Amino acid sequence: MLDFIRDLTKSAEEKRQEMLTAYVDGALSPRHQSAFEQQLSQDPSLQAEVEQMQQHKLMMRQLPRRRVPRNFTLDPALYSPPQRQPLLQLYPAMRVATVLTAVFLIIAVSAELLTFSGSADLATESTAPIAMQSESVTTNGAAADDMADAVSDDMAEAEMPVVEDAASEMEAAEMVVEEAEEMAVEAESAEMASPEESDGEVAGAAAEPPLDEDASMLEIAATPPKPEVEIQTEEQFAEAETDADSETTVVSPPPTASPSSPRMTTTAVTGRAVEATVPAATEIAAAPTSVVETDDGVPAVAPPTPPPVRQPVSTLRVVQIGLAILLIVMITAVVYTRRKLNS
Amino acid sequence: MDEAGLIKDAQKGDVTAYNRLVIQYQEVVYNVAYRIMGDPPSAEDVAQETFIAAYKALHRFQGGNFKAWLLRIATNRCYDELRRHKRRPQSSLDELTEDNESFAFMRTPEVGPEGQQQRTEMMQAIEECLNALSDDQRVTAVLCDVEGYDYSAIAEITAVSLGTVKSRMNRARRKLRDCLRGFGELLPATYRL
Repeated sequence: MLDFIRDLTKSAEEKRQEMLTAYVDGALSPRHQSAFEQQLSQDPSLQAEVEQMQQHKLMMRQLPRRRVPRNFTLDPALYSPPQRQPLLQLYPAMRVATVLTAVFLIIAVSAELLTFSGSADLATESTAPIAMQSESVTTNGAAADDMADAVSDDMAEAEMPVVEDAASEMEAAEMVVEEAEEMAVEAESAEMASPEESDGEVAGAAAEPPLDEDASMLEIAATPPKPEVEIQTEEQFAEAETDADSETTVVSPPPTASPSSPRMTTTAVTGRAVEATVPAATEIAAAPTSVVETDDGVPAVAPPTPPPVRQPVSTLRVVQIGLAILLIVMITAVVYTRRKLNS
Repeated sequence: MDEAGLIKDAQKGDVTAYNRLVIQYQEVVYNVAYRIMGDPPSAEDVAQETFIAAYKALHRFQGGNFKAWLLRIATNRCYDELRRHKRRPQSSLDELTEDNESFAFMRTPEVGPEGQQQRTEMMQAIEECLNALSDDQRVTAVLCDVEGYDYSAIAEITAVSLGTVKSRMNRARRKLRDCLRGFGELLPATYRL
């Protein structure tokens, strides 16, 4: 486009000269060349100019060519491409990989710590209420101790897995024991006061409230918590003791005469109250909690051992070890590459 | 090995293959640089820079006329050198003497000493008139009349349009004609213009 504009601004002489130059250099199109040659044949001055220009061109072509003063070849030692060093080229990626490996290792260790702490909390939560219950049971009075002896065999043969039910039942049994203790104390006091008192109704009256209360407790404790535990009366104790192969749980009577023993028949009311208390008291033993008789004779309810918590540490440990090894290798490679770069 | 194979190996980093191309084209590049710059030291520098630049830019060569591609780099280097020094090339008369090894091939046995002298004076006149041209006109005149390239090749080497080449060439020829007419009385009848 610039050539077209330039052609518009050229004079006729310039255009004629350009035509002449192009003709001498063989740059005219066939159409323009034939036209120029026709004009050339008719113009002698134009012919002289063409000859002169052709002579100039020939002289320029005859200018001597100079020999090269030296070779301009390149030194291979200076211009050869550098040897590939993949380790140096991968240096930035190695740094990133090292950081990521360290992050993953930290995550793996944190995961193990969280898993271990979670299982430990679960174990402590399951054993705490049972321990509290055992402490409350051992702090009872002598009546409770006697009752515990009565049910010690039953406790020992009770099934382990029912721990939570045993805890709730222990609470109910504790209440019954307390009531039984109160009843026993009152019965003892009433027994001791019976030879002095002529009116048995007083004792009966005194025993009535406990009887009413005990009756309510009887209703509560009427249903045995566990069907596998059979409550037997004293008459059946002698038979059961001799039956060593019996599968049923036997509640043996206390060896010593206790106020709550049905053998004590000081008063009909109190005996009835005591008798009533025996099943109620014996029903305490229905709770399938393990009772371990210690050396001093004080039964202690051993907390059931929690089921072992399976921790998937084997796979995690392998991952941790692998990440640790990889991290060591990556750090070594990065340090080595960095030294090589600096050198 | 053919030129295409050498170029391919050189593009892969084979300096030996590239040096074979250098040996093949170094005389052309040096002479063009000499005609444009006007003195041998400048021409030597331009030629060395041309081959170094060509090696570094070899990956950009996508095929075609390797000689034209090489001369394009050479002319650009000449332009840069001329602009940096802002000078006109000057030919040295001593270089045209018979003792100069570079011009030994000028001596023809059939021409006597007088003829050789006239020839030398003619060459000197042409070189002086050539150096009197502008940079663009001189480059165009050297590529066209000295090296024998056509207008399209000159347009490709100098990266200008065909019309620009025609215009430059026309102006160069007119100036050369006017310049050589001034040397007309000094030239023998055979070379008078």
